[in-house]
Amino acid sequence: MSWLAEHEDLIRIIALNVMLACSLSLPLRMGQFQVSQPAFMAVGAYAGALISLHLDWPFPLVIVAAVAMATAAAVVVGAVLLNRLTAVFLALSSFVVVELLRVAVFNVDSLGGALGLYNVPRRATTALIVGMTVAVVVLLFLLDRSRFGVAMRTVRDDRLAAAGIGLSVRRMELIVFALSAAIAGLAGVLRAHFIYTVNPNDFGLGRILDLLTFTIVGGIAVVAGPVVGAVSVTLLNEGLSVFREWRTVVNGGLLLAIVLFLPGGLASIPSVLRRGTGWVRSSVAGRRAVPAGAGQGGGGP
Amino acid sequence: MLDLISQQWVHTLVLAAAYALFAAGFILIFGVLDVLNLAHAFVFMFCASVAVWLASRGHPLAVAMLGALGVSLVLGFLLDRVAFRPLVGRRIHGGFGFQFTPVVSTLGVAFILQGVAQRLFGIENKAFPTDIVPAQTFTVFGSRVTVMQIVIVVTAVVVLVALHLVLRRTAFGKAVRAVAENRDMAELLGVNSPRMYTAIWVIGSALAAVAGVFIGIIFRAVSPNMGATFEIKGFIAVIIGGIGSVPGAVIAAVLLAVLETGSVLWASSEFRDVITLTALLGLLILRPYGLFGRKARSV
Repeated sequence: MSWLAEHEDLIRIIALNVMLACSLSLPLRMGQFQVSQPAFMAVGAYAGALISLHLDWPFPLVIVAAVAMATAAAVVVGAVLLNRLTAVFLALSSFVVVELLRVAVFNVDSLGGALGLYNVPRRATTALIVGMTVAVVVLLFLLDRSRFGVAMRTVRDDRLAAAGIGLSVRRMELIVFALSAAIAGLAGVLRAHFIYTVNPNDFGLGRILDLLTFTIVGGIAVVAGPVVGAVSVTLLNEGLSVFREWRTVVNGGLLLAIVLFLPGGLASIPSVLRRGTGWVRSSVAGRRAVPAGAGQGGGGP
Repeated sequence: MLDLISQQWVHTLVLAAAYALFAAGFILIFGVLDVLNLAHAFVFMFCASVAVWLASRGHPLAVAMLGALGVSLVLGFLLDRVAFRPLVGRRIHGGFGFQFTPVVSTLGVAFILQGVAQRLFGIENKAFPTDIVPAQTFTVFGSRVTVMQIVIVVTAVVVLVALHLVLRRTAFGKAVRAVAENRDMAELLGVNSPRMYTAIWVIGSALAAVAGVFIGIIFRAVSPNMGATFEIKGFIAVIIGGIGSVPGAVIAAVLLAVLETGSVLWASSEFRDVITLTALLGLLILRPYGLFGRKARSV
């Protein structure tokens, strides 16, 4: 137990990163590439911090309110974006949304401007953060096993066919967008209540790139992927001080190595080993023969 | 006020010239190779840093520019060989409607360039020594213009017109456009598409290098943070300019420069980015496939 106590900060960071990686990977799993999560993380963090600073609400209520705010914001933003944009334009616009919110908050003095908010009470315990993270992972696992999960994979494989068999693709897109934002908002409010401060620069492009790293290193084919990715990358970055100065370089090399040699991510190692095929280029044979969007699942037939 | 506005037009034009060079490289790689090149802004940053480093060691501006260009050629070649070529055969995309794996590999390269730049050049802002930037001024249409500003605009116009003509009028350009249209068919018809890949990566990276040096001169600051800042500007270029055309990049760059300088002039400098990004997001929502894009299939 003393080891746990010693590394409490690390455990909290890992848990929050797991939650955020889950949030980013959820839409990816239905073929929706959008990276707006840091924006909704910011909504959750700012809403929660402001409530805690100005009102005398019990913490569970603060969390619920912050998550509700993030979700509501996501429904509005998602309704507009998803209604108008697909594919690469959706991805690009989500980058713009994140950057827009960051620079906007940066210039609003009532939200603390460039300095952000501080003295946020430290109300999120390690147990709470870890518990919430486990709950999110379990929820996503159950979702993956449910009819909705099957429908998500159908949409990923072929949107037209999915619509053809009666799935309301638009509504599913919006639900996934909002659910992803809710998880991000939860991570945001929890984070604000354990590091005391909320700063606009916590929710920018750098955050997107970090989350993408977790998700890709872990792999998106299975729910466990982002979990594995977030844990291993965070441990690598925070745990081994040797790497700290070269953190970005190590992460970059890791991403390159994964995409070149293990396209399904760390979580696909078991299935790759089981299949006993070559790690590299196992998917070259599938060129063009693989139907569009056959998934990232460990590469190749 | 009028004087200020006429001065702003010069500044806007110079800014647009540098943005256009940056955007053209990004759009070229995206249009021909279908790669959302997250490393582009970081190549841009890295080459600008190299140029500042050379200049600060007493070399003239031309040498600094050549050094940046040299580095960009190497980086372009490496991007092609490491981050793109191994992925060409895969054709796996998770239903995103565009290729996802090169996004990841170029992100990896972006991280590496960012980290290496931080270690090599430090994280603080650096600038070109003022005495190496030619500063004689002329008066053109009642506005003061420096030699450097003229050099930037003329270089951008020459490079972009040349690029446009090469893409539209030469056999090489035709081959590039054939690869952009349909890679497999182009190969069947005898286009050496791997050679086109290398050419596009190198040209795109060289454009980023030139833009990087110019932006470093215009803003009098170069730092590793430039990469992240310009990433978004590259996306904006794709959003407005559409896919794979030089005129699109130019229009995107002009619009971006006008929005940025205009919002400083008529609103305030704090809200420059807010106004610019809001306008662009609004534009994207109104014209979802870019200013000149057409609607493809949808559900």
